[in-house]
Amino acid sequence: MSINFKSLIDHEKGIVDRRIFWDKEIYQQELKQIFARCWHFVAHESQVKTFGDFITTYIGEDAVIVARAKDGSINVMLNSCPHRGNKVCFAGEGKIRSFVCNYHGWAFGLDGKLNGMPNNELYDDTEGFKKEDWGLHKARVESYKGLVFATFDPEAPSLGDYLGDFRWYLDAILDIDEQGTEFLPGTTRSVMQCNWKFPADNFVGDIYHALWTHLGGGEATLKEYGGIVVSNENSYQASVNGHGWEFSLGNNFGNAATMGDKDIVKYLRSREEEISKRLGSIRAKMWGSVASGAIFPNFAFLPGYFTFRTFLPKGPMETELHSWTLVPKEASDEIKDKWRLGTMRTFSPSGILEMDDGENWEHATAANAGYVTRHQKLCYSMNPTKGQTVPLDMPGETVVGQLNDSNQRLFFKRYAEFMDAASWADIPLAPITK
Amino acid sequence: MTKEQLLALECKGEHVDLQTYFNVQRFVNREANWLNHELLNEWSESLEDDLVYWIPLRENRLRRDKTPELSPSYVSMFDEDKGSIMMRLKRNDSGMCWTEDPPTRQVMSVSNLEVFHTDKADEFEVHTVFTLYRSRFERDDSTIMGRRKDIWRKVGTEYRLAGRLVLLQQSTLLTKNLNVFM
Repeated sequence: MSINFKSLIDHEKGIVDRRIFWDKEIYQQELKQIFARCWHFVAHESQVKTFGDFITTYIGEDAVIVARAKDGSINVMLNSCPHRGNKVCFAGEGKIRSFVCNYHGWAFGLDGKLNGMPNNELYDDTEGFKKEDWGLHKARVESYKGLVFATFDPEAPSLGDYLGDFRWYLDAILDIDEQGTEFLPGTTRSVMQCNWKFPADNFVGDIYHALWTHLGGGEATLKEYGGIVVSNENSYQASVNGHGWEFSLGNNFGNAATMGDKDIVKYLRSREEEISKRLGSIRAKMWGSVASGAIFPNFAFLPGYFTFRTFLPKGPMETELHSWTLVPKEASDEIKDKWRLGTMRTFSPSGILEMDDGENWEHATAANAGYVTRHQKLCYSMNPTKGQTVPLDMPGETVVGQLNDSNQRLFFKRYAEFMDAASWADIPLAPITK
Repeated sequence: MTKEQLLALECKGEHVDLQTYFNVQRFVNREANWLNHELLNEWSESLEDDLVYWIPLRENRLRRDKTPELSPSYVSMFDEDKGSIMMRLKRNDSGMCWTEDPPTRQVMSVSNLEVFHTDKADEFEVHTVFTLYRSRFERDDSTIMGRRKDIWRKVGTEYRLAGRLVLLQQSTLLTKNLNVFM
């Protein structure tokens, strides 16, 4: 198939062809062009703290194991035995010494090496057979301040170059102090019948929907504060290499307040001065304000709530959502527990805000079953602050006003770049300035 | 009531007599009927003030892994007290909950009722299983099955829910949300 994705996506006007949310061939191309190429979040270091700790997850539709080996390294490898292909680990998390395939008993170390198999003398006279040739296929692994990423593409740039100046923004959550962050125990897994790009483009830059979608949920916790308040006064969008963050610098801790727990807001306020000294006042405000962000292609987060989530593709019409709650390590157990409850009551399958999102994305996807519907375009053109200059020193492509489709246009621009590229050599990287 | 108390409910007490079993069953069925008819105000008013309503996540762990699958400190699907349940109901009552309009149709079918005495004369350990079927809009549907471990408290002539641990069977929730109580 040779589709020119630039013809499907006009990122300057903000016109997106609906077929990218439906077409099976396009989806198969995405698995190759995007998921087999990008750096993907796979775990927080706190999930695999010591030797033997592992979790299982997916990169695209490829099942992977993330495991801490004896030498302290974190290994990411295909969860598929190279002998006949069965999964070698069916647990979601745990502690283990080796992964043994249920089929013939081939056993692999935490570094993915083939350690042995039953009746291994059967291979003694097998010409050319070497155990070192048949380990679990491994990905490249790099971490950024607690977040572990992996890629299966040997040509991919370093994680640092992939994230680029977006690291400056990520530090507003990941680098607020020396102690760093951790995930609370528990991975929430749920399934939505939607294309993975709808949740991804929502988190990368769509606060607009909150003003309508979340009116009912917002009423439950924000009524006493005057409901959901979002404006383009003192708010911005920033985009780097397709990653994006839309945020207010005006209303302090607006996201956190939606969880309805005053103690969390107090905690955030108590740390603002110290974080401001460390990172400057812009990022101290970004810590808990009305905002959302995403790392290309499918890893998203919400400041304040500190829910982190991946939108794992399961075909063009299905997405598996894995989500976690991140907390500052230094916070008291009592505050951490309030975050556990706060994110659950807002952004989880039972959350009063997330519940509404899934409905929207499912029906936005399903509508494309209609041939005529599918051949219509979607409007990503909102640009209310055109010509205004961002008055602050912030890296990346920035615009005034968080109510804006700018980040989403740049997300789809990036999407088209990946889909049209023959290799990483064709994929531009923004210069690093910070 | 605490989550630890709910985790400890293991059918170890003495079975109640026929009359008590019948009385508890009436109130368990009344609750299911309220939920099926979206009578959430009646339902919430019937909850005890010290209610604990807990739906933990399920995990796939190897049998030899001694880490407990369920723990009060883990992230959950629901981990509520009466106040937070009342907060959740405000969403439905706001009149601006677009995705609940038209409403969800649901059937909670409750069975396998077992009722045991506890060491408190007015509290009863109640075990049930349920099938929750939801249908929405033209074709949206989902079926969730689970087990419930409850504490019901006798208050006057009524039995009221004081604690509930819901064990869903799916480790990956194969539906987009839990927009109803069970």
